[in-house]
Amino acid sequence: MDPLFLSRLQFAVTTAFHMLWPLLSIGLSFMMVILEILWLKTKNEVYYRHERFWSKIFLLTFGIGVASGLVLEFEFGTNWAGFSQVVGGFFGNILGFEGSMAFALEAAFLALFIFGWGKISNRAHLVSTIMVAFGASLSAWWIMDANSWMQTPTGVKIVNGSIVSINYLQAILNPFATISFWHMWIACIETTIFFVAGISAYYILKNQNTEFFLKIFKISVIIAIFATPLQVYLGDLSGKAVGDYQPATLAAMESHWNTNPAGTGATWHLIAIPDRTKEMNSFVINMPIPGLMSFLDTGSFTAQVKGLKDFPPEDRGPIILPFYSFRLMVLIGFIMVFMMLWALWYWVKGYLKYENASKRKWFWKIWYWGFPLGFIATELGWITREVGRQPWIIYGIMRTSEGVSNLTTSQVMVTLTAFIATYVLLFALFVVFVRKIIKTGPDLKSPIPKLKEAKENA
Amino acid sequence: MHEFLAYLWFFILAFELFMYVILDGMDLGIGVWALFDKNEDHTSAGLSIISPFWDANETWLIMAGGILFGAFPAVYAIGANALYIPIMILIFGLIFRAVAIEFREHSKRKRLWDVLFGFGSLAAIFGQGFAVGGLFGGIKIGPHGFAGSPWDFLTPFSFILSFGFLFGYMMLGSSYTVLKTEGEFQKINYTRVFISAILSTVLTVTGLILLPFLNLPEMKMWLSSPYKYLLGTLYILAAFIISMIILNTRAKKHENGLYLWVSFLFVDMFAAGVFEIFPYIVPPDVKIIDVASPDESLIAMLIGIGMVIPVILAYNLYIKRHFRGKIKKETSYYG
Repeated sequence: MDPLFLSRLQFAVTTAFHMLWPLLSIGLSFMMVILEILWLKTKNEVYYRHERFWSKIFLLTFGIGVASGLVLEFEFGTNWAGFSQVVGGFFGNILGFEGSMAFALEAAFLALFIFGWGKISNRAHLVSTIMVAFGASLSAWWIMDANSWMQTPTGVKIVNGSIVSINYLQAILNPFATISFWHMWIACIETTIFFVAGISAYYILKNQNTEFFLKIFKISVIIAIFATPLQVYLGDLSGKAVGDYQPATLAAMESHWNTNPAGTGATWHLIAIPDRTKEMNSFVINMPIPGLMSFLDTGSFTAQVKGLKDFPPEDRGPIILPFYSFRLMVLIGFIMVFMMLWALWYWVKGYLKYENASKRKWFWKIWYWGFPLGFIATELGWITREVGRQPWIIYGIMRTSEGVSNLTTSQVMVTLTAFIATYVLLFALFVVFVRKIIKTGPDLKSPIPKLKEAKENA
Repeated sequence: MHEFLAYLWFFILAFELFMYVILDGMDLGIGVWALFDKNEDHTSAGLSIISPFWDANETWLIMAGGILFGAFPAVYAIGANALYIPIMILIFGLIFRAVAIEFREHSKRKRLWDVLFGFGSLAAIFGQGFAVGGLFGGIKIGPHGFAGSPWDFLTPFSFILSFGFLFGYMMLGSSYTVLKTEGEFQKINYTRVFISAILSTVLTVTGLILLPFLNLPEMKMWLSSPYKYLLGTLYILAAFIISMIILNTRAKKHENGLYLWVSFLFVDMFAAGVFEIFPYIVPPDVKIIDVASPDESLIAMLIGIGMVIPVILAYNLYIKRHFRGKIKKETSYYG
């Protein structure tokens, strides 16, 4: 195993692990803004209790997110010096923007958000909560922007390994940037509401604080009505953008070897076993809809989709990983839509009322087991995106092998092992402590900070 | 123009790093002292001081990393490549420090997390010391980037510097604790400031005695620096500040003054460090001007980062205002 492969593996492990936490902290911070506004508007303490309850999990998530995010900030240098040296003049700026515009804001206002209850006015507290949420989402924008530039590197002219000119507008608003950000942001929201709804389902199944958790379950369903179909739409747009800007990646994601002749549609494979040496699929199960691949990837049933054979072998990345992770992600996206519809139907039928809630055991069991769906789908999407870009580190400009640092195998082997061990441990501990928070349940008794505005009105 | 922008970014970078050192250095110092706490409540008090701010304090390191990456990409890349081991020690230290703070709150076995908190902080400090020591010691650069060995950073100088970081942060942490606490724990921390001030003095004297034998790069830089008289003044000033700190700890009064003196010492030593390498960025060969990004990128950074820094300082001050005065017992995490 060479340092290149180990560095890729290490970056994959550290990114995949880091991603789990912002997914939840961005979503939870957004949710807490909603809860706080609802509390201040309706004066109903249930929203306040919910905000405090979920903020415990938020804080744990945020802490691990900060610690694991710092790793990535330095890993570009430690493991990808070749890449960093060439593109730092643009790529590093974007990471700097993230740190100073977004992360600093989020981390600073966190102090008031957590410790400010009862000490500062309600309005000042709401502002702090909004700043935390805004900072978190802005952070996602810059990170997705930097990554999107690696996917569709426009606006930066590189000659002989150094930047000669930068058009910031073109580079920041590169073709993938906006669509990728929204796809990821909605993923954060979707992941969080399924996580929150899953935990709520757990309480409802146990018949603990059922009424309290039905409230947040319904809020989650309302958000899901918008988020789940929107995500399918954004996913579709993202797939088409891949076709436009990274045709070789799309061909790999679809395990599509031969460009379909003009006027005929390409068939969509549900399952495929690609054979790289024979340049064909040794086994396929197709969807029996003619031209479905053409339709999904372009919007027309007879459009041409470029096959892998149109690209020189050295420009083709892995196939199996993007092919299957892409399909599984899509599958989960649809499962989430169906779960939303199921909940909506039950709601209309009145099954979500307090007195009926305990009867529908299967419904709650499935929602309970749905809590990790968003995390899994996002990880799969990320694998599709990053593995799909290979063999490039900057698509079409720099190969991954050119970007790696001068390291020894043992150096990376030691840190990779340490990361895996540490992260497995952290993950296990997080599960232990979240279970503990859930077992303890929400605090429904401690005094509520005075509603100052309400008093003045009375 | 290019020279001006490059130097400006060098000093902004120095400012960010200084903010990190003075803010998170305090957190790390409190972390190390937690290893010596005999009373569980004392560790809780120390944690109450830092728990609202440790994330915000770590932000300065993240921003500094971004600035180094954006303004001096070659230094970021080759530096991080060369200093792989110390940076990883720093990273793992910060990971363990962070999770110890977060998980301790929910755990019954607090002592376990205190130990992790302490050793995490210790690792982060040594990671920083070795990294800066390795950088000051010079980095071998070939035609394809870093060309040295992964263990180049491990020199007597980087050891001395690491212990300097350690004692300095311990001084910073305990002097801030004096400011934020009362009674027994405050008394203990007066002693802790005294101990760390004495240790720093002993370290400096040892360093000076060893100087002729070690062939320290620091010494060569010092003698060849265009600012050697300024540096000399800063070092003499440091000796004066240290004696003021020791006097203050003995008097056990002026609790605000003690922290201010320690902060002053950090300003002084940090300035000395900056002027020691200026106009180089990686001594002894790489000049700031040679490795700065193109002008357009430095200007973009002025808009996206430079102009944001005053805003960051403003809201951080606004937030800190709410946490003035002595910490109270009930200021626990979810209180």
